[in-house]
Amino acid sequence: MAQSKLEIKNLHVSIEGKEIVKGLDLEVKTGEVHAIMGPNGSGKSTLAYTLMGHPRYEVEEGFVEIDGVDILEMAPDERARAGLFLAFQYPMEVSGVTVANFLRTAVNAHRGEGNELSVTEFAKMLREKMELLEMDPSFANRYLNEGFSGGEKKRNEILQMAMLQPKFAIMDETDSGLDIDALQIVSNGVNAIKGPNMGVIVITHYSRILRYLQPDYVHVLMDGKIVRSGGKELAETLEEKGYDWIREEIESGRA
Amino acid sequence: MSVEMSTALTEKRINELAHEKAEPDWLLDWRLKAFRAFEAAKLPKWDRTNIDFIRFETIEPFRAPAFSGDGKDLPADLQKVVQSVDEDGALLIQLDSGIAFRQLPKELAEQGVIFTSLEEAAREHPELVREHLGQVILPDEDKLLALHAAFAAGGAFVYVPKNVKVKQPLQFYVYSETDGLGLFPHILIVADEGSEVAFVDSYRSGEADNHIVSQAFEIVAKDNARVTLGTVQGWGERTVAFHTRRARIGRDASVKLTLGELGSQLTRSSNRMFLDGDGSEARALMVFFGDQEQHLDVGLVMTHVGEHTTSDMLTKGVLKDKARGVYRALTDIEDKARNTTAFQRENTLVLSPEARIDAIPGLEIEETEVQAGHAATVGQIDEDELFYLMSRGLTEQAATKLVVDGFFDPILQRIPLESARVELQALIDRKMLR
Repeated sequence: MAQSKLEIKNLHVSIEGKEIVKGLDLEVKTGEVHAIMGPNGSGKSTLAYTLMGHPRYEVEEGFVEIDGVDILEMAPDERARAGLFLAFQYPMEVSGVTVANFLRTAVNAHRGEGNELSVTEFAKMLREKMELLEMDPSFANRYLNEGFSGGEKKRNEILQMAMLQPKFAIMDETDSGLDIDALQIVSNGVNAIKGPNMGVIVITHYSRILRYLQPDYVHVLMDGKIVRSGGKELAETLEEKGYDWIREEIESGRA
Repeated sequence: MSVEMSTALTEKRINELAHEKAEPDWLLDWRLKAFRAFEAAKLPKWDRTNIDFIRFETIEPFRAPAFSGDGKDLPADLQKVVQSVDEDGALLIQLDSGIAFRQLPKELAEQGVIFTSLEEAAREHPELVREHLGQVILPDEDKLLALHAAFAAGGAFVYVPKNVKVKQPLQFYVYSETDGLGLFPHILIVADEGSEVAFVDSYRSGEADNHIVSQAFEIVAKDNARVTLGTVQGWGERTVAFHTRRARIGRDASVKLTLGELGSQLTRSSNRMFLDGDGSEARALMVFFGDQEQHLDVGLVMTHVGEHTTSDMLTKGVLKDKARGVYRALTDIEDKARNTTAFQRENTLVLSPEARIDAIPGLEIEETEVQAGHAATVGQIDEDELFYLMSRGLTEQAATKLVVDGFFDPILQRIPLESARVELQALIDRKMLR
């Protein structure tokens, strides 16, 4: 499969008139893992929601393209079918809809009419992916996210990612609220899924998850812009020194 | 001698029809008395549901095309129904005002089970019909019920003798493809002591669906009887329908009702159960779904009379487009109905800003030793919920359908009659996809 490219150029985003993302550039290719780190309020989640097309986020300027195709005019479902995926920080509960039913609907929506998976093919695929994430089979029959623990919700997001096999997956603070065991399972799952045909953007506050996911690039997002980019050693520096030193460097004009 | 046929609502027409159908005199008298009540009464006035537009002079009260009886000359929809029922299934089909198909397995007939049109029952089993007809729903209660009694045609009469347990559900279909027709199918179910029966009734229209319906559905569950009912109302989009269903429940008897109100332009569905006997039980699961400019007015009343009685009502409704829903529920616990347990819950999901629900739950308690509660909620699909589902590749329509299916799922899972559940789901799917 040819390498794909997600390109974000000069992106400006506002919510209810307030600008949150202020000229962001980023290029991600399939096979790469990018980490976006930043303090609270820097615009990390806004970036995630904007890329996926949440109606509350207004793009004021810039473009986002997958392989040269503008996705900003697309509805969220079209973006999903174009290969984008967002693992939510706070997944929604949908009562009365089982995980299995939801996943089958979603997988078949991606595959398109006339190309749906048979019930047995789907069941096999679901079983494999659930084993990968060390999930109990009974999980498939539970209502989507209803009554799930924080860890179960996150694992369920990664299960969806595994089933939908996107070109580009954004993980929005997937590590938050996970204990160390759950974090390892989720990370191992992501490492097994990603391969050369998936680009991953890991949005996080902490470097903890990055020890497992081994990013190729680390970007620091502050006040709506990427202010530093580097390799995974940048994450270690942030872990040691926090974000303030970067802010000081920027303010003193050495940026 | 040829008789000039009148299509208007007249005493003369009632006489002619009774003559044609060779009905007993007592039934004709009953009809004429009802007709006089119809003429004397004014249209009922209900808050939130206005029916002043009804023009009685345009209603044709009876039309019964002839059919061979083997089912092969029925409209395609009904042929499918006939084919879906195997040899030991019991099925009665009313097309317009007449019975077009009937099947009752020999085994049931030999046990004394009666399942036929009300008219035939009045001829063949006059004592049984006369004893129970119009006892639960009085023929002169209001103008629409009086019109129903005067012209009741087709319909179903069910009698299950003492301690007989009918395994397969009895199925009754009413279908019309005639504009301007008045449809008055009367259902009378008498479940004798210790008997068990399930009854499924379904209402559909063909292309020409501009009919008016007034129905009385009477249920008598005698001591220790178990009655399970599944109604799917799927009238065409120009039909105006008035359904009155009422049950009297004896000692330690139970009636379980599943009701789907989905069709019609306007429906007033008025349902009531009397828990007369000590230890009696009533359960109602109701689903309504209005779209376009539909008006669905659904009511449920549980009247507790005996001691140690239990009632439970669960209603779920969805409204989209410009549909209007009215939900009226009352738990009515009479004096001396000690140790009553009664619950009612209702949830509506409103899919459009132009759709509207009025939910009016109520409790009237004249006895202190009771456990009773009610709850009604109205919700919308959350923007974030829709976004979440769409982010997985589902179109807005598919995402909405998934939420609606999930909303109905808990109630559909509880429906004890498979065929009613399948039919309801099919009607819900059709509404979601148009």
